[in-house]
Amino acid sequence: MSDATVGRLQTIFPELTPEHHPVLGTVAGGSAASSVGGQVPSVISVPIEIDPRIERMVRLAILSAPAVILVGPPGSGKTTLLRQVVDRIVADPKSFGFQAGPTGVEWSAAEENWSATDLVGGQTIDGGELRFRPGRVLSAVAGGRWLIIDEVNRADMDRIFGGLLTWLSGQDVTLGAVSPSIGSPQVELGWSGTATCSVENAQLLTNPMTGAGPVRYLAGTEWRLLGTYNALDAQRVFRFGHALGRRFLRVPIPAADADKFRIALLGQDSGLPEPLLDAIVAIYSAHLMNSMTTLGPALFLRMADYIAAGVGTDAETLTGVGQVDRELLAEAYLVNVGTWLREMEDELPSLGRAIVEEHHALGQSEWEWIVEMSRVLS
Amino acid sequence: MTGLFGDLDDPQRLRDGIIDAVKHGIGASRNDASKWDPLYRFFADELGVGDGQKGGPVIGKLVTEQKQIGNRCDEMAKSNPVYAVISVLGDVTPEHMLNAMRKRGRLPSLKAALFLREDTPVRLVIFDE
Repeated sequence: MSDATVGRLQTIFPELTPEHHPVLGTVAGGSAASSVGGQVPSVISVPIEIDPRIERMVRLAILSAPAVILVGPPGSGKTTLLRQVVDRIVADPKSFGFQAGPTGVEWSAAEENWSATDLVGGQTIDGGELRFRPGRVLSAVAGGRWLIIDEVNRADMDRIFGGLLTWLSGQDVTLGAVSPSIGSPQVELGWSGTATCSVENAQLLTNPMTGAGPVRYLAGTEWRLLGTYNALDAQRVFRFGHALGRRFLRVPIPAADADKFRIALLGQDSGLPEPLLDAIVAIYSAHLMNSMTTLGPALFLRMADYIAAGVGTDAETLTGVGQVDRELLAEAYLVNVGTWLREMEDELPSLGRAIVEEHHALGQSEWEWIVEMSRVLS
Repeated sequence: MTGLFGDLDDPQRLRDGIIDAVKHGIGASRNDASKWDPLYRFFADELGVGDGQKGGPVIGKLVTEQKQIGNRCDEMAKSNPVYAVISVLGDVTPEHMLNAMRKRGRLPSLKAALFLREDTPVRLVIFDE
């Protein structure tokens, strides 16, 4: 035992058998010890208790299938939950039912202009010559790392991933030739019979004439493709086609109910007057009334931060009922949620009625101001 | 050595000192911001950990209801403690707390957590794997 205080605690409480557990997270500012490469997406911390059943579904889905996607409204904590579950699996794979687990995790945030070459691999100009360049999937397989794609709805996955449907079903696929030269070896993607990943004839990628090939990327049985999918955004951007969608296990991550949201909001200890906190809860509740307007709690929790910042910088005294309070509340709503209001244009009249008339969280004039200002954000 | 809780040279006295500090935390009013000060001073004076102030490497927490678990975990994460002394009451169990702490994964510096059922030590968890 290297820590003297821990040692003394063991001496002080000899009747307790010390239990050794994995450390609880990584040092702030750092990344998971085994995370490498890729663009690490920002993590919205959602201080809301996740339903243990939801967490179990995520764990078991990852254990039982090669491709899993977490689906839910923006701000519902999909990325945070996925990161936490994956970090725990990486730290202690055997406890989660894996033999070896991944060597690391590669995070990518999906982009609209992604092509199949970016994600899977394909021929591209390299030093004046056309050469096959591995994309994110092949690179991850080569390194034994899991690939996690955040917000997959931002990219046209049907188009990009269409060629890999067969592979996700467990079959080998040919991705193309290493170079356009006649007799150039092929690049194939398949599954190995073992838990770990491997690459055969990798040297042919740089020296294609030194062998017949093929170059074979073999994903281990424990390799995983994971992602998050923003259901609201997807209604306007890209949807998963059924053919691709059924290759993924899809785990729903719903928005927290109003009671859990209230507990989390109070837990932030923002120091705001209770009527203002009630108003934030009321706006959140109004959004929950319709599946087309449902948003996760993270966006609304940040409203309290905005209002609290206003108090700190404007030296205004909030009473919870005054004009300044209502203005700050409306501004906080606009800057945190305004962009999403543009995604639910058809639902705005009913949402406005719910917020103004049913929940009395905002005045009619403030609501109209929010709707008008949100158009600038679209 | 003489500390807040008397002569504290042996394990039994150290044990009594920690438990007395926990009793103080349990008995203090809910909104008493200094309810854990005796614990912090005890760790500083008798174990040489921290400067006896709130926000240091030691944190004391009392969890009386399950609905408090998330908030208590988030409060702990804010101060990034090295040692935690957690008293649970009612239907809250150390396992509930551990699960929530694990789920959040935001206590990277925590080396040990002493769990008590009210003021009775029940589990010592060391985070070193």
